[in-house]
Amino acid sequence: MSLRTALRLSHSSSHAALRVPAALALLLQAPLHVAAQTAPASEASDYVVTAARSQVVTRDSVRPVTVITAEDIRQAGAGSLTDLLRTMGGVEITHNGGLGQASSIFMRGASSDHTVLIVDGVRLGSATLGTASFESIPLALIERVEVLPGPSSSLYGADAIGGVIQVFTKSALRSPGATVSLTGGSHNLQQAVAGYAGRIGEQTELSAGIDFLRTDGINATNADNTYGYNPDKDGYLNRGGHVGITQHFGPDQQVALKLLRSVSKVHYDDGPDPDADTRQDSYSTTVTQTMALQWSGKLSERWQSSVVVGRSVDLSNDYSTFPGTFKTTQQQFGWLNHVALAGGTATAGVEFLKQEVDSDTPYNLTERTIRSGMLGWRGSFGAHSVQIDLRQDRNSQFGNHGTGQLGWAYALDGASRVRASYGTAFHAPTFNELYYPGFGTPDLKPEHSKSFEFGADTRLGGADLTATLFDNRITDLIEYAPPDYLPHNVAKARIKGLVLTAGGQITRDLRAKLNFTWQDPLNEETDDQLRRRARVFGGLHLVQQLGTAQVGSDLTWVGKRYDADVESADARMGAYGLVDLFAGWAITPQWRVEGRVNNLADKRYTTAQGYNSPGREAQLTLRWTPPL
Amino acid sequence: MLATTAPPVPTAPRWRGVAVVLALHGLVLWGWSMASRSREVVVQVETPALVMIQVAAPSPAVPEVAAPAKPGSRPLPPVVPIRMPPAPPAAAISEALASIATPTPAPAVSAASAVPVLVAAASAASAANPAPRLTRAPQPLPGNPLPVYPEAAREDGLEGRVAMWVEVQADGLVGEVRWAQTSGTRLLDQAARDAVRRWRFAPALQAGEPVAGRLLLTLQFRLQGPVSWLAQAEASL
Repeated sequence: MSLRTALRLSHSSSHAALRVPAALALLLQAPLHVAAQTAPASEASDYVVTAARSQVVTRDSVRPVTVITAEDIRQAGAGSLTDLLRTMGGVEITHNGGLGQASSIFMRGASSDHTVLIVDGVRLGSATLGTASFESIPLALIERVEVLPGPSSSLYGADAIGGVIQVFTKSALRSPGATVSLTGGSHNLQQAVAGYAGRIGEQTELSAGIDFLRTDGINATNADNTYGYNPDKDGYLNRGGHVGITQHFGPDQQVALKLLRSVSKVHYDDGPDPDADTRQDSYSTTVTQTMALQWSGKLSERWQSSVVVGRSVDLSNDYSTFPGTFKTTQQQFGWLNHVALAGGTATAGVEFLKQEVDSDTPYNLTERTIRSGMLGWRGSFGAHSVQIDLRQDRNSQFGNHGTGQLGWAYALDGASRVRASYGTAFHAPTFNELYYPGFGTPDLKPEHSKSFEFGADTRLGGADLTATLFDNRITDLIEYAPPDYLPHNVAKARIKGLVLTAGGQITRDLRAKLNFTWQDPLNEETDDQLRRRARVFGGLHLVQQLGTAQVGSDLTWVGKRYDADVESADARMGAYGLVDLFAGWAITPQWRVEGRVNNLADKRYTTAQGYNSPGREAQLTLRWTPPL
Repeated sequence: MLATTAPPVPTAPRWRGVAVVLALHGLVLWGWSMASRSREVVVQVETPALVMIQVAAPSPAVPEVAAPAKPGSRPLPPVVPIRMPPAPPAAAISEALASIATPTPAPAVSAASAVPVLVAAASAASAANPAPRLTRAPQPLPGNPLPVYPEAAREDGLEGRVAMWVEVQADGLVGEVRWAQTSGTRLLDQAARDAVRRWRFAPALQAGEPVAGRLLLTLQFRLQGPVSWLAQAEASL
């Protein structure tokens, strides 16, 4: 849950030098005038600072996490979080048009409402739709994305059947310094970003940033769109800002306050009548906002604790043929503890989540509360590692639900390991499914999933390789089924697959990140490929350093999909491959020029029938980093 | 600039002007030569010390000089001022001077004592002001702490080299630090600069006087060793 984020933040802070084992401290205090003796002949440096390579510390020590770093985000330019996740996150996406349009994410072949979005430790999303508006997260203000695929309800609660995506706003920890950038690009794309993160005094960190983005966009729909077609350009405007303050009290305690607010206006096409006379320029305004107050600290030598108090808002106003206002407010409190116990680490936590819906639609019920308790333990015995997590959620709508996860890993040697894990997860029905007037079923049960996964990780040369086989069975899927076309828990799905990832420094100047998934996403009722999900997809991200410049490419491949519950020729959306190129050049240490061309081959492709995808687009960025 | 008109033909009274000018020139030249000679004399006294230091310093070569003058012999030939070799440590200079301050065998007591006294005086003066002509760049003092490898960079496997121009003030403290070459990772650039800002330096010297100076420093951040799954458990708390 969010608390783990807070703990992670405290662990990663530069004050947690406690974590560095004593033996390493010797390495870090290298003597002066070391260069003549220890630096290799090819690189003359006066001083060398060394440290041992680190494991990526994950809150789930058995299942791998995919990390998208600050550098990856910067190279993505002025783009969308969903497109970045498609290439580097090992997930599938759909978008209803160009930049800023509604998007969905599928993880491990699960539905779009099976992905949980957490921003700075606070859950963000719409309780009416059950999804999060990923398109409203401004890339320019975030420094890191962590993707945890697989059943994660025992750690994060409801809805984490496909997985969890954690987003972190910029902080002094990973993105110190000041930066100002201006971007211009195709379709009248303009972006201006200014941000600062750094230390104020010895114990305080401050970060703040603002971002302004607008584009004329592309035409979101095409003539295939049965719902509404309007051949106008559908523009997007986004203004975002974030502030973060972290105050340290000694080496063991810290308090942090983080705020993110993003306001967007996106034009789209709707209206049931494609007749030119009745078309209108529809648009919607979205406000997403998260506020998190986190405390983390050591209560004793063996006891690490953290508290998160958070509030998030997802508000959308539609000005269209069917106008409406939908606002979801989520308030959460959580207390998580890690205690060193019995040769490992025990986890215990409690959480409280209140979801409120505020809308001009008269929902039959507009709020629900979830109280949860968690227990867990992880430890190592020689080469074996074990992890157990149990969680009980008490939802005011459907009652109690328990989930759990068991994981085991065995280190074959220092560089390789095999792992296996089994977990259950669930998805709470949405307010639309439960309480929408005339279209809801108030006694719906949650959707359930049972998932087994087996994998191996190894380090070869400079690269980390992982392979994971997974089998995800989802039952009680909610569907608007005949005869009454009300939502019922009737459907079943089963997704089996293999995921390969590889990443690391191939040569001294070449860095690569590869992910590839083969899967069989089956609707078990019909034995057909699940709607909008592919059988194969992957991405490759390459970056080559050339002195003070760098060039790179993003290659994305997605197999064929069907935009229907049956594999019919009419619903077929063809496979597509995308090539993006990017380059950056540091003219001086302070001034930098960056450029990017997306969809170099101008490939026409579809992620959702009736909706267009952007063709070839280019952008150029000028970035100034004053040495504050 | 080319003259476009012919200079006037000098008349008799003009010769007086020329004579004055020539006399002034002669005065200046004479004064300059006097000053030079007096400098040479000073160098002369120190020459024995320079001869000893030559052993410690690699280059440039110190020209051969005559041994200390014996009484009654002709005056020591003037010595061309030589370029100082790069900074032999002050201690070495004092040591060298001390070694020649011990009396050497001399034919006449009075004369012999004069030279050691001169040399001793020179050595005393030199010890107090070890390298009056020394010019060198600022140097970091021992004991400056290197930056700690930023934990976030270590987790993400980020490495790189940072080169910085460091302005060192006359008091040995750092004035301004500017990046000459960045590593591509702000985290490492900032860690390097924040560490170097706190360093102490021996300031630059210009003819023996501490002055503000500039120095190019490079720091390399490097990760070592393979990742070990066996060490995973340690990292969890």
